[in-house]
Amino acid sequence: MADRPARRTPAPAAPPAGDAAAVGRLADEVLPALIARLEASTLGELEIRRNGWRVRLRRSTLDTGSTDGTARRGTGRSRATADQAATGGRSAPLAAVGPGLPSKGADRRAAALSPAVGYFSPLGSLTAGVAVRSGDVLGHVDVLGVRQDVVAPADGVVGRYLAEAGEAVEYGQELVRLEAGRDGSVAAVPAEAG
Amino acid sequence: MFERILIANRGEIALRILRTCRRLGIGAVVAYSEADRDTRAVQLADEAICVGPAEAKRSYLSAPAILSAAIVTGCDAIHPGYGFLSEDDTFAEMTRAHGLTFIGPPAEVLERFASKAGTRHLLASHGLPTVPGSAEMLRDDADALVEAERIGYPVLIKPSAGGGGRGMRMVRSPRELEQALTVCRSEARAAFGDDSLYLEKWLEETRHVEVQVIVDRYGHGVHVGERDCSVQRRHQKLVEESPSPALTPEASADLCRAAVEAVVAAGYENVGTLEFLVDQSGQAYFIEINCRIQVEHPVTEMRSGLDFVAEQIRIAAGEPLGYSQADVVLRGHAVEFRINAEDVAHDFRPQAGEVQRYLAPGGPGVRMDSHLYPAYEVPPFYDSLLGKLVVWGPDRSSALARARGVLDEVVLEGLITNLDFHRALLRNETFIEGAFTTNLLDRIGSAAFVSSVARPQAVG
Repeated sequence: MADRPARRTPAPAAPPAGDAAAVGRLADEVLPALIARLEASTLGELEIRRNGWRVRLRRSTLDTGSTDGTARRGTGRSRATADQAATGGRSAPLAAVGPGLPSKGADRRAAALSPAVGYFSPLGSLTAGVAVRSGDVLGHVDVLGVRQDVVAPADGVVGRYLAEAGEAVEYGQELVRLEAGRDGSVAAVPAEAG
Repeated sequence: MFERILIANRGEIALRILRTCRRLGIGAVVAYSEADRDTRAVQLADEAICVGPAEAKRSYLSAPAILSAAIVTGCDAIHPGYGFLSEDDTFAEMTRAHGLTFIGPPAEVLERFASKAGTRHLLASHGLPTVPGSAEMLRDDADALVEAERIGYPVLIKPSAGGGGRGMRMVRSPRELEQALTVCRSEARAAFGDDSLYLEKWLEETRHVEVQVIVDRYGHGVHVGERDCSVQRRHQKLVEESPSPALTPEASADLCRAAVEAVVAAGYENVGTLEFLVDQSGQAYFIEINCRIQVEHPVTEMRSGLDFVAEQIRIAAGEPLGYSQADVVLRGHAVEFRINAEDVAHDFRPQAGEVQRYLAPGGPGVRMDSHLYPAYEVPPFYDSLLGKLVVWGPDRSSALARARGVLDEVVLEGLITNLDFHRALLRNETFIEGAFTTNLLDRIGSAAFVSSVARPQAVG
């Protein structure tokens, strides 16, 4: 799953009436260009102002000072996580595009989500406290004998495992909690044996 | 009998299947996509499991996701509903290979009836009339001209592969035929990579009539009468009724008997529907079979008292039918109105959005199958069906009178629906007389349905 590098925060002011072309250009040209530029840089945030518009992009990494306490989602009858509930039904497809991303600016945690329905197996060599990078494999979900990767959605430090080895999990279920690293340092995930 | 069934569908049909599971004392697990987290079936299920994102290909159409969901939740059978995986023989075979039961025809039966052309040949060999056409694929233009002359103009040129109207042309003369063949060949080649064509007689002013059948594993089958689904727009059914206003009771009995005898002889199993075109002279031509529960099955349930989901489950579990044709008693007249989130005034454009208010109608002879509730958000990813209002009466005119009353009762606010279309249809003379064909909407123009009737305002 590709990492989504930045969040965009449009200015609260409404666009001038009849400015649909400008909105289209913003979505089609300006934002992708800005996202690419932010990705290529080491900056955490980027803001531009033009013609009464203000666009701010913020890189999606984990902040320090994470707190725990999100209810664990089980298999059956699972409800939306706080993040997903807060975005409302219409944003569901966005969540599907980038599972595991914190969807609110205030969110200070992230979780690796299940990519499929099946049985979970964590990566044996991973324990709490190990630093991981966005895209690192944290475990697998077995779907009819085919393994699908559970991937870290952002840089961080492995926190709690929210599902046990062999547990049945559903699509989108939170499996591994990621906390922010204290010093920002990251270490490579140990290669899986076999 | 099964312990626990995975319902691999959404919307009103997921709820419909769940209700039968409840009645039969079978556990019900609902498989849902991320876009359907807040649906009624998910809320009411014994267990619900998210199988994928909104995109159907990765959720409701993903055989591995659905099978894996059934396995991890301990189900022993899967009900596919309609659409999605419901007629997929590969999925049915995978289900069996994992030790579970597919609730529908077995894989080999689905495979036997998978090809439309193959099914027409098969059922024609068991006595069903089919639309006259060229026996084989056309060899060349000269062959086409000879065949068209034999069938009689107008004829329809159809590609062997694919569907959706591409490569199809209706022609009224040899001259038109010669011109169209080249175009159809290149269209078919471009669309399907196969330019073989055949001819079929063009039937003008036909009705769409279908026969409901139930066949068990042991070769016992019954029909449960016909349904008339002629009120359509672009092959999309909007209103279905039973019996057909176009058939005499004798013609209906003959058609239904021929249909069930043919499918039993051809080795069909489970609940199914045979679709026919009926021309102005009353001649019926078999066109295709649907190997699944139909959207419009409640019309027949209202007349027969049968529960078709229960019949599907029983037969898939290997139970014998347990009754004969004489036990199937059809009473009165039933009509179904498909309530869709669509804008009739703008070419039936599908709508999505939040249901702000919803009040279902009620009373004797009224059934509303819907998954709606106030504040439910209709997602934009799937079909636009919001519910089905089914009304029964001792005869057609009393059923329509009852329908007029209850359609005005429905309160559904927050998104544009086709409710006004149905209200206007019930005041349209051609519909009331029952003398319409599948061209009804084209002839009148759907705009007439939007503007001709003052909207009965819901009282708050």
